[in-house]
Amino acid sequence: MAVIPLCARLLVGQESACVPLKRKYFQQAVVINKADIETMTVTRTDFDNPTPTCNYKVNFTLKDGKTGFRFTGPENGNSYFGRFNKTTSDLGFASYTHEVQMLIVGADEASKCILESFDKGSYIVALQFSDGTVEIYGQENGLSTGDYTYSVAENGGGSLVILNSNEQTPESYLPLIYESAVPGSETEDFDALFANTGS
Amino acid sequence: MTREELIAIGSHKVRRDETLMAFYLKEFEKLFGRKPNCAACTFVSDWRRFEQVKESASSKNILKMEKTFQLNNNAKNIIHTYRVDKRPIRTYGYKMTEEFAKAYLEHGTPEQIEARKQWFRKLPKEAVEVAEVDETIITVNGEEVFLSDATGKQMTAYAKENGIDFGEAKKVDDKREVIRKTL
Repeated sequence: MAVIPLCARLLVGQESACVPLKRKYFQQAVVINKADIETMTVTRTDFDNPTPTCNYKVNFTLKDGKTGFRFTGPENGNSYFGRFNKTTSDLGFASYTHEVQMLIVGADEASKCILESFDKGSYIVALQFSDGTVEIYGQENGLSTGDYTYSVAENGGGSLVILNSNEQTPESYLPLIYESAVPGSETEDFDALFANTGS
Repeated sequence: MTREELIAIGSHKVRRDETLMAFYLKEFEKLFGRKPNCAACTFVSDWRRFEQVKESASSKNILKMEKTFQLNNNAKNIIHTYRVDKRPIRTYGYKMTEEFAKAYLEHGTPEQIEARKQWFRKLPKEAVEVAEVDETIITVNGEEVFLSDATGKQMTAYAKENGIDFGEAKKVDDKREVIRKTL
């Protein structure tokens, strides 16, 4: 029988029969211009290691003086969340399209500038799940808006906007878990918008 | 016997006792995954590594437990940041460690550091100065020895090997100084 190369294998199971589930993201997103990323390091499970352990992390630093930007919604709502769709390409490779839903409000100049930036730019988005995990969406190829209808009047003053992967250039990985340069400081980095300013 | 008890006995006595050396080599292998190729040749530097594994673990615990600084109340819920090689290092005030506090007041421009001091009700103490340990090593008959631990006989042999004249130095400490000056 031919030797089949395996790109991954299961290392551990999951017991969730009696575990109370967390199901919500903090209602905020930190959006980073992809061009502002200085360094990025992805750490994944090394299956060649005789005793592999699970790794699915990313660490990044912004360019000097750059910062992410926070978007927030009512914490009682559920406007902000992330998700992904897995497909198999025609060549047989697993690929993932990332999506982040956010709330944008208003009809003023500022909101127009934001929407146009989203439409024409490329972004990485950080979300924090209610268990503290910080996920990074669009790490590889960036996110931008798909087709949308923005109707402030019909939706009570704002609209839900989805930043997603381009269908032609999906991601190779699931949304990665952010790891700070100082382990344990992920929340600090998220709260500080991953800024690399001169203080 | 534990590793701590062995270290407390001291390198000098361990080196000269077959039973203690055997225990030391066993513990060394547990720590570093291998025995020294030539235990006598590299004993001094190996013993230092053997001790330092213990020292760094206990000093980390001390750092964790003892904070010599106090932040103002308005500093506890904000994020404090300093940069090393243009890479930000952050913590919330309430999670600030002694190590972070010292680095926070070390990395930055003088103006930044002065501004950061305003967050402190009590500044961190400078790291306690450890008494300088003389780590000068000499080789006597193919064996490494700390100069500070060398016996009179070892120093005499070293002087003979290296053509050193002790002159009027008769006491062990005086001979030690003569050798140190030649290094």
